[in-house]
Order: sequence, then C-alpha cells, then structure tokens
Amino acid sequence: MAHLFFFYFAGVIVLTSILVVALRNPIYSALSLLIMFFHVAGLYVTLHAEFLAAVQIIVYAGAILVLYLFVVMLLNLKREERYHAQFPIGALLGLTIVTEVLLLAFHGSSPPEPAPSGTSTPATNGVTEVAGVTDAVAGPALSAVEGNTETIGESLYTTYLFPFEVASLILLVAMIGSIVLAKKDIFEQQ
Amino acid sequence: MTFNLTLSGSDLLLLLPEMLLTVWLCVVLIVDFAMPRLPKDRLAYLSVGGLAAVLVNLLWFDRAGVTGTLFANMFVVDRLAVFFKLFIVGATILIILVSVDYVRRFRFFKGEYYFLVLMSALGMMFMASANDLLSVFITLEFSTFGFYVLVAYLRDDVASNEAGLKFFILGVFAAGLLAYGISLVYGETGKIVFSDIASASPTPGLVIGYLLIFAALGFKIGAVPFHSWIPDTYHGAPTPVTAYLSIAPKGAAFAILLRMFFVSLATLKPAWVLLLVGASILSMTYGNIVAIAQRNIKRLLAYSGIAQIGNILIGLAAGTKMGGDAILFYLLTYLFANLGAFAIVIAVGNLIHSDEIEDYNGLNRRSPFLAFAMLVFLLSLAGVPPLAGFIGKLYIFLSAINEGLYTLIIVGLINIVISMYYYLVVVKKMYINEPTDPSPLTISTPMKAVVYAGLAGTLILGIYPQPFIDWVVAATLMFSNLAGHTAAAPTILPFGG
Amino acid sequence: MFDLLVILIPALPLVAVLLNGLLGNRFSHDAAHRLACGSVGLSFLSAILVFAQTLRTGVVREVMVYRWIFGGDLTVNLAFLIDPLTCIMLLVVTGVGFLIHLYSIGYMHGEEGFTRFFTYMNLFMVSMLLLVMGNNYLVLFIGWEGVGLCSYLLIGYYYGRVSAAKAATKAFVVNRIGDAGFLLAIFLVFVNFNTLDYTQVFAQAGQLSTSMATAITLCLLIGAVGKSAQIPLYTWLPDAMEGPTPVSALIHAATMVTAGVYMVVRNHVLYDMAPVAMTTVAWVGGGTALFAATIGLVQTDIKRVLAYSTVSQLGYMFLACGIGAYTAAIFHLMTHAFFKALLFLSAGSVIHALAGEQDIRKMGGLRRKIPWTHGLFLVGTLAIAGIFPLAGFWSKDEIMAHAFTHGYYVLYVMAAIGAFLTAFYMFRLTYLTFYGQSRVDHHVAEHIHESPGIMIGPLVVLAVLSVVGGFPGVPPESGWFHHFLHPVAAAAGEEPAHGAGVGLLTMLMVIATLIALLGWGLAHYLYSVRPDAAQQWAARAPQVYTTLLNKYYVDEFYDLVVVEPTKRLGLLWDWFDRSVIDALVLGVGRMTQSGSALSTAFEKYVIYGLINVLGYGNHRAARSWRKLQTGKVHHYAAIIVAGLFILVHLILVWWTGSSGVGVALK
Repeated sequence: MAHLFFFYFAGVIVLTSILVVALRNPIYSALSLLIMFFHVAGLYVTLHAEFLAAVQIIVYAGAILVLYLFVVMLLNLKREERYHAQFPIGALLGLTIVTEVLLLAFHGSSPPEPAPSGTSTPATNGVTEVAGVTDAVAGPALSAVEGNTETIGESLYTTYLFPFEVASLILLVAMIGSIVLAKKDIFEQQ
Repeated sequence: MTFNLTLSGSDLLLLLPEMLLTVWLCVVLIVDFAMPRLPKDRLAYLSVGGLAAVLVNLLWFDRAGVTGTLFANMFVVDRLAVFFKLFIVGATILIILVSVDYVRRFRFFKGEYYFLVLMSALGMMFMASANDLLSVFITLEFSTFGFYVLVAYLRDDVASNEAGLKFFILGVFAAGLLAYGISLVYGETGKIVFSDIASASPTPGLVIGYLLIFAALGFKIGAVPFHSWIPDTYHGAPTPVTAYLSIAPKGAAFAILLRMFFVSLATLKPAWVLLLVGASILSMTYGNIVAIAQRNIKRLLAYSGIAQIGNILIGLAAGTKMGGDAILFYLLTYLFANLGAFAIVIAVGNLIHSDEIEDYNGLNRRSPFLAFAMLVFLLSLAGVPPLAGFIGKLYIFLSAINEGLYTLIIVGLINIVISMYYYLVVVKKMYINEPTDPSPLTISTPMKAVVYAGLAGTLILGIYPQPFIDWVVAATLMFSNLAGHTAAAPTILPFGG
Repeated sequence: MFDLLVILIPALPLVAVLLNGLLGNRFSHDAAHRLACGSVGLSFLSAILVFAQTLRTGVVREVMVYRWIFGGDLTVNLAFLIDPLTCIMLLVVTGVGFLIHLYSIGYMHGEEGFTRFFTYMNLFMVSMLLLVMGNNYLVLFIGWEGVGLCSYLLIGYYYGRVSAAKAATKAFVVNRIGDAGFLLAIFLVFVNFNTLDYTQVFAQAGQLSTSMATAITLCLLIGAVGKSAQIPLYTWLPDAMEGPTPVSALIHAATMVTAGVYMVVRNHVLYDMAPVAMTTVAWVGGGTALFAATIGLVQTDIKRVLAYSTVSQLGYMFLACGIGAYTAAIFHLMTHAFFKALLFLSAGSVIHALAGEQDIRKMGGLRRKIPWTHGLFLVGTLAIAGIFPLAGFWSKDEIMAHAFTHGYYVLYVMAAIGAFLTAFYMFRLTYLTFYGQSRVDHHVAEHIHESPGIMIGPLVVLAVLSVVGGFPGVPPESGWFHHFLHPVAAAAGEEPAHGAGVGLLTMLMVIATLIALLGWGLAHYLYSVRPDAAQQWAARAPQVYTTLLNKYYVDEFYDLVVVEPTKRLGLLWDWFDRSVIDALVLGVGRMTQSGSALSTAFEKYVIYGLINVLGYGNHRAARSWRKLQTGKVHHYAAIIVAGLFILVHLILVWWTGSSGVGVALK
C-alpha cells in the first residue's frame, strides 16, 4: 500500500516537473509546479512528516508560487520561441548519467537509491535545490521525532540551534542585500 | 515543554569570536544608519577595529589551545578551525583596508559595503568550524550570499551586474548540487557529522553524493571543470571584492574539503586520489595556458588563481598530514602574494582607471615602489625562491612525491614554467617598457599598509618560514594518523557491500 | 672565527644590496659604487682566508646559519659546506667578481640607474655565493634561481629596448625549463634519501638503484643544461648579450653559466653510478662544443661571437664531466673564467671606445688607437685558442687528453675540430677588430679613446691570470690543483696520475698546439693576407653560410613548435571560454528546431522574475540580462554538469574496474 502511494506521488512529481519546463504557457507551467508541490507534500505525509507537509503547502504552494504567478502575469511576457538548443546535449548527458547510475545501482546489492530522479538538467535543479534545503534542514530531525510539530520546534532550538541561527543571519544578509541592489529610485530622486 | 539546551559558559566561550563579530557588524550597521554624517572611511576603520579584536581573540585561542565541540558535534573549534578563522579574519582586515579608496567611488550604500564584507567573513568563519553536512550547506550559503551582493555592487556598471547575475545563478546551481549530494549521503548513511560518516561502508549513493558535494566545493574554489564562473565574475566585480573572492572563500572551502576528504573519506583514499589528481592537472594546465592569452590584469589573476588552486589540490591529492600542512602553508603564501598583487591592481586602477595590462607600461618609472612590490608578488606566485611561494610549492610538491604522484609532479613543474611566462609579461611591461604617461603615482596610507603587509608576509614566509610551519603542523595534528605511503592500501568494499 | 668568516662572504654583499637598494637614491654614485665594490672586495679577502685555512688543515667544514624549514619529514638548513671545491669556486666568483665590479665603475659611469646596476650586481654575487656554498640542494637551488633572477633584471637593464626585454624574458623562461628538471631531481633525492644535505646523500648514495641514479642525474642534467646553455637550451645565452658588457662578463661568461658544471661536479658521486647519464653529459657537451663553434664562425656582433664561444667552452666542461674528468672540468671552468672575463671586458672596452658600436664589420684597424685594449684582447685570444703555455692550453688539453687516453675517440675528434674552429673564429674576431683597414664611421672615429685606468687595471690582472692561470694544473692530471681537489672531485675508481705514457701526453699536447696554430693560420690567411677570400668562400656555399648566420634556425624552430602552439592554445581556450560554447549551441540549435526548452524557462521566468523583484528593471541591468539570455550562464552550468558527468564516469570506471565489470561499460 505504502509502495503504491510512493509510486503514485513520485510518478506525478516527475511528470509535472517535466511539464513545468516543457509547457509553452508560463501560467500552465506554474500550475504544474503547484501540482508538483502538492504531491511532494503527499510524499511527506507518507513519511509521517505531517508538519513538513503543511509547511510545504503553505509556504511553497501558498506563498512563493502565488508571488511567482504575479510576477509572470505582471511582466506580461511575450511568447517567444522557447525551444532550446541545448536540448540534445542535455538529453544526451542526462540519459548517460541515468544509465550509469542505474548500472551502478544494479551492479551492487544495495537497494535502489533515489539517484534516477536526480537526472535533472540545469533548469530543474533550481527546484530540486529548494526541496533540498528543506530536506537537509528537517530530515535528521524527522528521523528522530516522528514528525511531531512540538518536537521539531524543540530540536530546532536545541540540537539544530546552530544551523537555525545561521539561517536567521542569512535572512539579514538577504534583506540588506536586496535593499542595496534594489532601492535605487529613492536615491536617484534625492 | 522541556528544552534541554545545554550551553554552559565555557561552551559559549567557543563561540566568542563569532559572537563578537556578530555584535560588531550590527554595531557597524547601526552606526551607519544612526550617524549619516560620519565619513564612511571611519566605518572601515571601525570594522577593522572589530576584526582586530576578533583576531586577538583567535590568537588567544590558538596560543591557549582552546578546543571543543558544540551543538552535537556540528560546530567544532580545533586548531584547524582556528587557523582558518585567523586566515579569514586576516584576509578580511586587509581587504577592508584596500577597499577604503575604492568605496569612495560608490555613490551610495558605502556603509553597507563594510557590513556585507563583515557578514561574509562571519559566514566563512562558520564554515571553518562546520563539522557536519548540514552546517556545511548552511554556512556555505551564508558566506556566499554576501558575495552575491558584493559582486554586483557597482550598479551602474554593466560588467558588474552581469558578473553578479552569473555568479548568483551558477552559485544557486552549485548549491543545488550540494544539497542534492548531502541528501544522498544522508540517505545512505543516516548520519551527517563527518567523523560519524567515516565508518560508513561505501555504496554507490554515498560516492555519488560525495561527488556532488565535491562539485559544489570545487565550484567555490574554482577548480576546473567547475571554474566557468570565475573569469567573468572576477572581471566584472569591484576589484576589492575580486581580491576578497580570490582568497578568503577558497581558504574556507579548503577547511571543509580537508575535513571531508581527510576525516570522512579517509578510508576511501584510493578512489579520490585519482579524482583530485585529475582536477589538479586540469586546473593547473587550463589556468596557466589561458592566462597567457589575457589582456586584462584581473582576468589574468583569475586564471592564475585557477592554476594556483590546481597546485593546492596537489596537497589534497597527497592525502597525508604533510599534504594538509602544505595546503595550509600554501594558502598563507597565496594570501600574501595574491592579496598584495590585487592591492596593487586596485591602487593602479584607482589612479589610472584601467585594469588593462597594457597600462602597466613603465610602472617602474611612475612608482618604483608599486612596481617592485608587484614584482615580488608575481615572482612569489610563480614560485621563485627565496619568496614565500617557493616554499609553498616545494612543500606541496614534496608531500605529493612522498606518495609517488609522479605524473602530477611533472605536470605541475611544466606548469610552473608556463606560469613564469605570463607573470614575466607583466613584469616586463612594468620594468622595461616606456610609460605613455610618465606622471608619478602615489598611493594612500591604508593601501600602503596592505602592500607592506603583503611584502612582509611574502619575504618572511620565504626567508624564515619556521614559525609558520610550526603553526600549520600544529593545526593539522588531527590528521596525523592518516595513511601515508608506508601504510598498506585500505581495502575497498566491493560495490554495494 | 672561521664560521663567522664563512658567513661574512655572502653577508657582506647582502648588506650592500640592502643599503643600496633601500637608501640608494640618497647616496651619491661614488658612495654607491664604493659600497658595492668594497663589499665584494672584503668578500674576496674572506674567501682567501677561508681558502688558506682549508688548504692548511684540509678539513671539510659545515657552517650552519639557521634552521630554515623544519616540518613534516622535511628538514633544511641554511648552511654552508666548505670543501676544496667550494674554495676554488669561491675564489673564482669573488675574485673575478671583484675585478668586474671595479671595471663597471668606469664602464657604467654616467649611465642611468647606476646605483640600481650595482644593487643587482651585488644581489647576483649573494645568489652566486649561496649557490656554490650551500650544503644542500635547496640552498643551491635558491642561489640557482637568484642568479637567474638577477640575470633577468640585468639583461633587461636598459629601459625601452624591446630586444632586451625579449631576451630577458627568454632567458628566464628557458632557465625555468631547466629549473623544473632540477626541482624534479631534488624531489627524487628527497624521496630516496629523506634528506637534502650533500654529505648525507652522498654517504648513502650506495643504496640507490642504477635506474633511480640515472633518473636523478638526468633531471639534474636538465637543470644544468638550462643554466649552462647547452644543447638544446642554449638559445638564451647569445640573446642575453643585450645586457651591459660587465654583466655579460660576470654572469654570462665567468660565473653563472658555469653553475651547471659546478652542480654536475658536486653530484659526481651520483653521476658515477649512472653510466647512461654520464654518456649523455659527454655527448651533450661534445655536441655543444662543436655546434656552437660552427655558429661562432660567421657572427658579426663582437659580443655574440664571444657568447657562442662561451657556449662552446661550456661544452668542453660538460664533456670533461661526462668522461669523468671532473677536476679537468673545474680547471677549465677556472681558466675560462679568467680569459673569458678578459675577452668580454676588453670587448667592452672596444665598445666603450666606439661609443656603443658592436658590429665587427664597422671596426678594424683599432690596434694603434687603443693599444692597451688590443694587447689585452690578444692575450685573451691566445689563451682561449689554446696556445702554449697560456691558461687555456693546459685546461683544454687536459680534457682532450683525458678523452683520448680513456678511449673516447669520437668525442676527442669533436673536441679537436671544436678547438680548431675556436682558434679560427677568435683570431677572425681579433683581425677584424684590430687589424686591417678601419671601417669605423667617421663621426665615431674622431672620438676613439683608450679606456680609463679603472677599466684597464682589472683587465691587466685578468690578463696575467690568463697567462699564468694554467700552471697550478701542471703537470696534467697530477698538478697541485688536482691534488687539492682530489678528495671531492675524483671519480670513483679513478687513480690519480693515470698511467698513460708521458710520450703520448706530450704528443697530444703537440697535436693540440698544432690544431690551434692551424686555426690561427687560416684566420690570418683569410682576414689578413687575403681579406676578400672569406667572402668568396661564403659565396661559394651560400646555403651553409646563411644557415650558420641564422644559427641553424633553432630559435625559429622552437618558436614554431613550442612557443606559438602554446600561445595559440591559450587564445583558443580563452576564446572557448568566452564564445565558442554559444556558437556551438547555436549550430546545434539550427539543426534541431524542435525540442524541449529546459533551461530557457528557468532562465526567462525565474531569473527575470527574480531580477525584477530585486528591482533590476532599469535598462542597464536589462542589457546585461539580455546577455544572459544569449545563453552564457546556462552554458556555464552545462560545463559544470559535463564536468560532473566526467567525474561520475571516472569513479564508475574505477569502481567497476576494480571488480571486473569496467570492460562492459566501455
């Protein structure tokens, strides 16, 4: 049963990820991204990480994607030719890596590891990266505390205090940085 | 609800340098906001003052041998970490001093510049202490964030904007690789602390995970084939930022690389020696040969930096304690020589508003001091005795020859010959060509201080390196049980086993 | 006391370097040259005292200055080794160096950068002294690189001369090729002995395998070939004549270029174990001796002729080393230092008299106008040609005799032809410069004057040395010189005073003299008796003549095969970094107009969106963004992915290879 859910979620994630970059209309691709986020959240649920699943939906699906859609709509991008010349190279590299990794995986007796989904080309890695951050931050905690919101909070403030505090400093840099780079008009008016 | 946060006073002591710096950079930011009429130069000196306090603190750690770990082994303070923190803080002080003249050119956000430099320094200090994959990711991103902004700081300059964007996009891409690699390693082992993973048996997932992590760190240090961002970013960024970028993050990344390869992956050495030999040969050869074609001094130094990283990777490929010593020592020599060279590029750039090598014609006539200092720095980079660079190269080559890496040594030696050529092209222009505009050049006091510091470092490390060698040898004591050429090669588990 | 004296030898010039270098602009020229010459003079005195002490006690001493590098497995001291070999080198370096310093006062008078010149010269002395005094390979190497650096600075001494700049760079880079070999040798020594001290290395040399000894010595030879301008790395030395003449005399004739010979002799324990390397040394030397002499036949620049003769004479020294005649090599090194310094300095005196003219086609008939210079130059010519009983005769004859008596007949013949050619082109030079009709430009001719006493004085001393310098080595193979050097320079298994008959040796001497006289005679015939004969000969074999004149086109060959390809590769890769990836992608793109847009969407929407969020909307930023859109950034990312791909592949091959499935994957 768990396997069934896993393969359903995983399958949809792969499919929608491809759609995100393959669809012509940016709105549609954003919507596929939304579907992908939901399914990632589903994966978290099967892993008993309910809190993370909720955060995933609220933050990514709710906040970031909406912002993203706004930007896309505001910019009113023209439809340009979107076929990319790099596709053959990318496909070749991707396929080869998949083959090699599969060979690696089946060569040994270890269980198949999730490498195949990493055959992303540069474009999708932006997405992978975001998911990666969440994974890295929450992963160890979950294995210990079974997805309980309270215990996540506790381990964030005890065991993982260090990365947590550093993350808060990152926010400070990002804030100052975006002010420095963006707040131009004010000065020009002065 | 019970929080079992156990941080005693002595634990907090280990964090003292970082806390000091955090407080100080907030002070700098607040002073900048609160006292708008204060000349921005003062902020530079204020920052240097804070960094000096941190430096003193770290020196005390080093002398007193303060060590320990915090947060379930995630944050470690050992001799290695203290060495790299001193390295980073020292580099930051020098960078702030060379920035003073340059920052005057900015039209706004002069104060925030110093804040961001300090922030990056803080991030890199954390990197030096990062002892697990999670901290590696978060500290690495932290330190890089400051640089994203700093590289694009010249907002009216197309090249700077372009550099910032390229650096950002590729940096995020590298971060993706890093996160992916970390997740693979964690997935395979269930552990994130370096020393814990060391006991894990090598599986394909683990190996690929480590490769991805290496790619991300290779991006950070600019090793071929992860170097593609370097030339454009170095070229476009404000020169002091280029100088900073060319030295401090590389040092911090080597702290992580050392911990990763020498602690976490010590048993897998036969596998990664080849990897590092390959990366080293590629970096040296590519960097040196492309450097020949450069017309711009910043691009030249960018490619020469790629080649120097290739040299440092030799020490990593050696995989012994001596290799570790050599890396640390080499980084010190590189700090003084490279920073010195950049200081002169900044000084000359400030005066003649050009970074083209052609415009260094007859520099010796215009400012004998600058030309002489540049000569010393370039010769040190080329490894001419008795300057610091020579001892660094010697040390690193000897560590590799002890491991029998003859191919690497021969390629390295050929590369030294090639590198001589393009360094001499600059020297020739400075000393032998006639200047187009013979008016003398004078430089400001802080700039002079940095050049003198670079000269002193380059000469002392070459002529009397003993105290520094003692220092680096003490800093890498933790690696003394690494298998050298005398030890039997470790047996590698068959695939998946 | 003795130790202090030893340390003073390099320390005195070093003090002069620091004073002149740091405060030089406040000194008058007089103060600067007094400081420079005085320090070298005092060094010379110390060297004499050290030499006397060593001669008296016969003790080999090591003098430690300080511990230089001590870390890991590596220990290196800054320490000096004082043995007979070092003593001879010390006397030659400081003695000849002192004379050339004195000469420079007159020669460089009024030149721009007078103080700078002496600073570099003193720095050179310091490096050269470190080179010959060091007790380990690393100190030797420091001196080795130091002299190279000073040579670079002094060749490029004249500002604004493009040819000088090129020559300086060429000299340094070519030397670095040799240095790379030398460094490799040092590394190999370290791996095998775990130390770099001569005494320990030579004491344990017996444990070395022949192949390793060959590897080490061949690598050392690469270094020596670079520094001593032997085939195939000799091309820099003739170009190095762009420097001031005292520099040519000191660095490119008497001292620096002989460092390779010194190094080979110093390491003769290792060479004795490697017959292959010995043979290589001998053939390199013999080949260079002959080859450079042929080029010297037709050159027209007075200093270039001397430069090729230096290359050729260094060939004789290498030849001597290669056949095991180490003492003879050092003996020739010493006499060569005397007469070649004499020749260069008198050539300098000629150039000085002619206001900078170096082309011998514009000289002639100078004998009467500058008689002192003429006389001194003639003494030098006689010495280098090997006319009995001048210094060059004894040392060159010893090498040739050794080759003959030890059965190296081919090398003997090469050396003999070389000696004939040497005599010929040196007398050709003398005749063209000092005899016959004056071909000097009129406005120059009016100002021809003899050089001042400060220049002639040192020349007289050198001339005397060129005459009597050979006597310490008489009788051949068992003179005083040989007995003094025997403890350090005797080849393994070689018995002193070889059993070759006196009759044979005398006969060889007679043959050598005849060869020299024959060369002289031919030069006399061609350039004095029938001045037009030479041109007829040249016209009869124009190809040979132009080939020689163009130095066998070796420079052009190196440019074509090594220099240009490297530069092109650099340009190509640079272009690749900047643009080719774009073009590549464009080309592929035209072929495949259908396909998925993987990166574009990311770039266009995420990045553009992000930029706009951050306020990058202004037009300048947009321009840079447009650049992004051409695809550079994701091509950079593609490079990273491709690199990663290669790494994965490598690891895969390694891994499966170790468990036997690698073949299937390939």
